[in-house]
Amino acid sequence: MKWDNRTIRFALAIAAISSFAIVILFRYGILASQVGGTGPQIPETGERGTISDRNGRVLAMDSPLYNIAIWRPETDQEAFPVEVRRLAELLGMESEDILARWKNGSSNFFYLKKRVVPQLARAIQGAKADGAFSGVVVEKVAGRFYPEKRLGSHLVGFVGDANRGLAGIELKYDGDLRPPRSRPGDKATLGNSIILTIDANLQFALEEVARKAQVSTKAQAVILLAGDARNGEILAYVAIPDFDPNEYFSFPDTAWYDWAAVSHYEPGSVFKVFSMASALDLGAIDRNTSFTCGGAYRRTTPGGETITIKCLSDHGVVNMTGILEYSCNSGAGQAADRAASVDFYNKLIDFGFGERSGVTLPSESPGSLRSPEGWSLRSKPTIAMGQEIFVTATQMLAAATAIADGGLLLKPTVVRSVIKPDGATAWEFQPTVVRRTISKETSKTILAAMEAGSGIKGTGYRAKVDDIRMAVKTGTAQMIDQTSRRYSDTDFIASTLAIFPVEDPRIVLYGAIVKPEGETFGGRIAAPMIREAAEAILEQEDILRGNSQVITHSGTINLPRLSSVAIGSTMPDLIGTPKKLLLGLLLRDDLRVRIEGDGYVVRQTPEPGSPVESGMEIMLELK
Amino acid sequence: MRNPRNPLFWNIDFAAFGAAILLAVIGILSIFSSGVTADGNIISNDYMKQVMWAAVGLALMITLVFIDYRQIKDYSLGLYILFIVILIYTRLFGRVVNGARAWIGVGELGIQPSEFTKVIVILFLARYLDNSEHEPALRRIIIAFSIVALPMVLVLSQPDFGTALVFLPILFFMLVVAGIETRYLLFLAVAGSFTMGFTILPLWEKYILAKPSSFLFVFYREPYDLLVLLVIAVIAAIASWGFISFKKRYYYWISWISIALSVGMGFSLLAHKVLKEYQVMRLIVFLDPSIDPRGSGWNILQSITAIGSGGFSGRGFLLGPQSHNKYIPQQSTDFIFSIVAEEWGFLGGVLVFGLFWLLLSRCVAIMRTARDSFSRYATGGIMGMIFFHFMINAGMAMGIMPITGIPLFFLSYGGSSLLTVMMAVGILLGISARRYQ
Repeated sequence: MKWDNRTIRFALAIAAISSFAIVILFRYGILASQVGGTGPQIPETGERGTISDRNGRVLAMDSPLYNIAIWRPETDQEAFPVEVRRLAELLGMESEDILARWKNGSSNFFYLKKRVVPQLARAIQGAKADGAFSGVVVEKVAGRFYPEKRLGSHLVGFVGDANRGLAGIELKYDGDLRPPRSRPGDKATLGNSIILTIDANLQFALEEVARKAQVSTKAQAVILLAGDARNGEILAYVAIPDFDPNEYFSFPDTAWYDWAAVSHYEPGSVFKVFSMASALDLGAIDRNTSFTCGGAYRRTTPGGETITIKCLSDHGVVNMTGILEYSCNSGAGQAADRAASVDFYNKLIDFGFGERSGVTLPSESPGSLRSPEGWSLRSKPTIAMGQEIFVTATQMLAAATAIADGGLLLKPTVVRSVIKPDGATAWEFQPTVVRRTISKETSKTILAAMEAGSGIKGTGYRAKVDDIRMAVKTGTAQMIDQTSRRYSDTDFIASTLAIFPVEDPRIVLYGAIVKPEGETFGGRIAAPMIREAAEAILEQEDILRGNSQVITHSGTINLPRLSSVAIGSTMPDLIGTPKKLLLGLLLRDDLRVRIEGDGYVVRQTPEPGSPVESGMEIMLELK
Repeated sequence: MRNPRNPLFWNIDFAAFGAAILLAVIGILSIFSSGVTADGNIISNDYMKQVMWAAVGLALMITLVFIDYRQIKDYSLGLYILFIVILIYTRLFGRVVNGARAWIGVGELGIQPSEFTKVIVILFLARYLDNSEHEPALRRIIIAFSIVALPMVLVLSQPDFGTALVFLPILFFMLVVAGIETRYLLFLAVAGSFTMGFTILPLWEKYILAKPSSFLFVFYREPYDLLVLLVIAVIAAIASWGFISFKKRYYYWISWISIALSVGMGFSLLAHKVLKEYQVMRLIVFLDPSIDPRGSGWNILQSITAIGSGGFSGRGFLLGPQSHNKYIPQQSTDFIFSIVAEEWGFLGGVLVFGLFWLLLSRCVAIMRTARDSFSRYATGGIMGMIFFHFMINAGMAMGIMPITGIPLFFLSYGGSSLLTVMMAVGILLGISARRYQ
């Protein structure tokens, strides 16, 4: 045999084939040499972690469900066709269908119904115990149960058929919640648990408020978010319409849509808070810079074109406070014009607009803010009024923390901690400062100006709760009609932002009503919703109100004057006298006083009432 | 050994013949065993049908030994066209079994034309490769690929992914035997691996890796996938231009690898459009059956348990607990190896391995002594088909090959696959018997 190219190739091909075969044979040897078990080998599915609110109230937990299947070889040829009717009735199926699959199906094992409730499974198991239903298999599987039903449904989310997260925290934290994979024979595994930042009671109260607002305004959707201004924790996360995650499939998919994090929209005049804060912080205006409203923003471009943006009315001469108080479009536009476009844009970016807030929810939208190169001459004043910029409700809430806590933008969160099955903390939220956005003075000035908005002349006075200082800004934004791609005359988003108490901000509260019918002004419909929400928050959080019962005190207390002990001709009763008052006795030359111990006198010699003579020894025992 | 009175009969390769018959007998016994419950009740008469198919197959095999393969070669174009028509007919009017419109027939009797098509394609491809020996290699590859692709696409559309897949090793084996240069073959192998890799990538990342990776998505998520493909294609174009202009080695290899990458990625994008998620899922679940223990992973877990239960010498005929409690669906067809392994143990399994090894080594011997190119190519194709079926099926039963629904030749229950392989062996024996003519 010659070792030419062809032979080598041939040998190589044979070698490749043989190595394949050897690998398989080798694997076979390993498998055959292992001690094999028998019976169906299925690993336990394990248990998914729970989701609970900040106080440990469970919002999602695993509970067993059952699959009902047929194991054909075990079924009784005579009895099964009779029993199948009862089985079909129990399961709510057609007995003909089951019989057809039993007779003609290609598989010996097939499922009749998956994920049935324990009661039904018990009924079948009971019948099996009596000797019926031979060949009917009841298989336990993990099921998910949401005890609070609709409460926080957008935040909690839901799971699908295989107990895997499909929405909300269930999806975003699926990797944590899911039990680790197990192999046949392993013990059931447990997933991590999630503790949310929301408070179930507050969530419930705010959901009621939002639902009421949706009914009264016939709105398409209502968003209501409450956050802790000091650490970025979201205390209530409401998006209406909502759904019951136990039976999410029976709700239209529009109900699953999370308006608070997913939808982005033009915020309208609420945004003036951030545009004025930007202008102020950039030094483009100060608190006293005044502008003449004249009923509209007008500007003539170098090219001779005149830009006009209308105001609600002629507000006369306004300064920054007036712009926020009356929501003056003209003033806001003129103020923004004083700042350089790039600086103005960067400041808004610093507030977190145009980027995801990082709240851990799936499909969070980053919103959108065009960079200055893409701006037209109208853009800057328009953005200053809250149009031509797209935001999400979570972004608005996060940006408001920068106003509330002295200029630091906080990262919002809905998750407080992740707890391991053994109780150890796997991860805990630490308040995170994203960046310093504005100076402390700017934030104070803006808060003061916003407070004017809740005054009797302000647009936000309907949001004001008595006896508490609130900073409020309302807005009514035009929506873009999806078909004509122009601003709609009928579709608006009415919204209100509130921060309170002004003297030491604790709560940021943001509400938006999407496409209300009838009344559309934010000051008229969103502000009252914010007031109700604020009332609910004040009831639950320990924030001091002006009219709450307070116990006052002058600050000083009167104590009876104590004098030192003196011993005259008879011995006084000194039991209970403190040591301090006895010290004077030590100065007496005519008596020998012995004091033992510390504290108060418990025993004395001589007895009270005995005559005292010069040179006597007096014993005082203290304890 | 030549007998002047009947030279043909005495030149038959009796080793290959014997191996085939013995394997078919083991198959019938195993199918009988799979139809017996733990209580000893016979619940299936599939084994009787298999006996009948085996008898028909034996008759066909012997008939084919006595038909001169050169005649078959002449008819192969007509047969190829006929079977393409039959496949189209099946696709449109065939019977649906297990979700695939792959069957034609009347009443109880049905056949899967896709099985027989494998042999037809081998014959026609052997004829083409024989006739085109003096043509450029690239042209031969492209035409050979087209000959295989047409029936493959039809089978894929039934949809029967496993059967369609078998055409590729057949093509590959035949190209090897036909002396196509190694760099082209290597290219096919590498591009094929890339296709497979990119096809399973999204599900592999989702279920096996089970944590989102920061960059892998660029290979399958729109629009990044198209961008990546474009970038690789541009690199390929530049490198090719560089090679043509400067004739430098490294340009050649850069262009070689980037073309293989872009071909693989292109086909995988196509595969993502064509294949259903469950089909790809079955391809990857063997990597870790516990990701889907009640679905695709079930059979693998039970089959592995059965092999372990069999141990070295087996539980004995009709005594396998795993088999007779019917824990393994499709045991008489796709997972027949598990019953052999449980009841006959490692020894029985090695016997089956040995018989296949004998058959395949006879193929090699027949190739080396064959008198013309056509018979060499046809033998190569038949060898590739048997080898691939055996490796994939046995590997699947052991959990190291994907679940593709490819039956184990001779053993698996099913008339079409048994007839196909017995006819293939008949052709093989006919070729070998005529080696001195």
